Amino acid sequence: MMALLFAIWAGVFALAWAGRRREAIFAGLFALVLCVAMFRHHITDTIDIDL
Amino acid sequence: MTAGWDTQAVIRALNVLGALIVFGVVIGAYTVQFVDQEAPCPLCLLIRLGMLAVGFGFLLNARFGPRPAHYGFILLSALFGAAVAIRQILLHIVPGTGSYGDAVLGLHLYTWAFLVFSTVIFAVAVAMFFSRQFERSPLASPALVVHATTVLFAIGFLLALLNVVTTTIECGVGFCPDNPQPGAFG
Repeated sequence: MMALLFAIWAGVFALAWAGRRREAIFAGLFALVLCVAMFRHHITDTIDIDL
Repeated sequence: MTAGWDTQAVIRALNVLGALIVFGVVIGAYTVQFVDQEAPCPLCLLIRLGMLAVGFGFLLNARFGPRPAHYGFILLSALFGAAVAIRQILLHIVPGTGSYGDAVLGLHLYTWAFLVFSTVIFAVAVAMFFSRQFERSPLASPALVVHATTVLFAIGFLLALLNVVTTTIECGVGFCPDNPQPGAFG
C-alpha cells in the first residue's frame, strides 16, 4: 500500500514535469489525503506520558 | 523574452534550493537504510513522502512561477510531515522507551525531519512577504534555474519510483510492519 503512494507521487511529478500544472496540483492534493489516511492507519500505539 | 534576475527569478532559485535540500534529506535517509542496514518504519516512509511532497511544491514554484497556491501546497505538505515526525518523537520521548535507528549528528532522523519541516514552514512564511514575486515578470527565468528545475524534477520522479521498488520489497503489497526486522529491507 505504501508503495502505491510512492507510485502516485511519481505520477504527480511526471504530470507537473510535462506542464500539466492544474492536474498535478489536484493529483498531489489527492495523494496528500491518502498519506494522511495512511498516517491515521499507522497510529496504533497510545502515547502514555506521565506528567 | 530576455532572461534575467529579478525578484521572481531569485525566488524561483530559492525554491530550487529548497527542493534540492529536501531531496537531499531523502537521499540521506536512503544512505542510512543501506549503509547502516536499517529498514524504514511506516512513519519513516511517511516522512519521506512528506519530503517529496514539499519538494514537489517547491518545484511548482520553480517551474510555473511563484503562486500562493504553490505555497499553500508546501505548507500543507510540511504540516503533514511535521505531524508524522512529532508523532514519532513523542513515541520515544519518555526515557527508557528506546528510539528507532541510530542518531545522526546527535539527533534521530525523525527529529531532523521535524526541524526541516518546521524550517520550511518558517521559510515559506518569510518568502510570502515578497509580494512582487507574484507579479508578471517581463524577464524569462535564467537558464541555470530552468536546467536545475528539470534535473530536480527528474530526481524527484526517480526517488518516488525507487521508493516504489524498495517499499514493495520491504512491505509487499499489504501494509508495512510497524516494527521492521534488521536489514535494509527488514
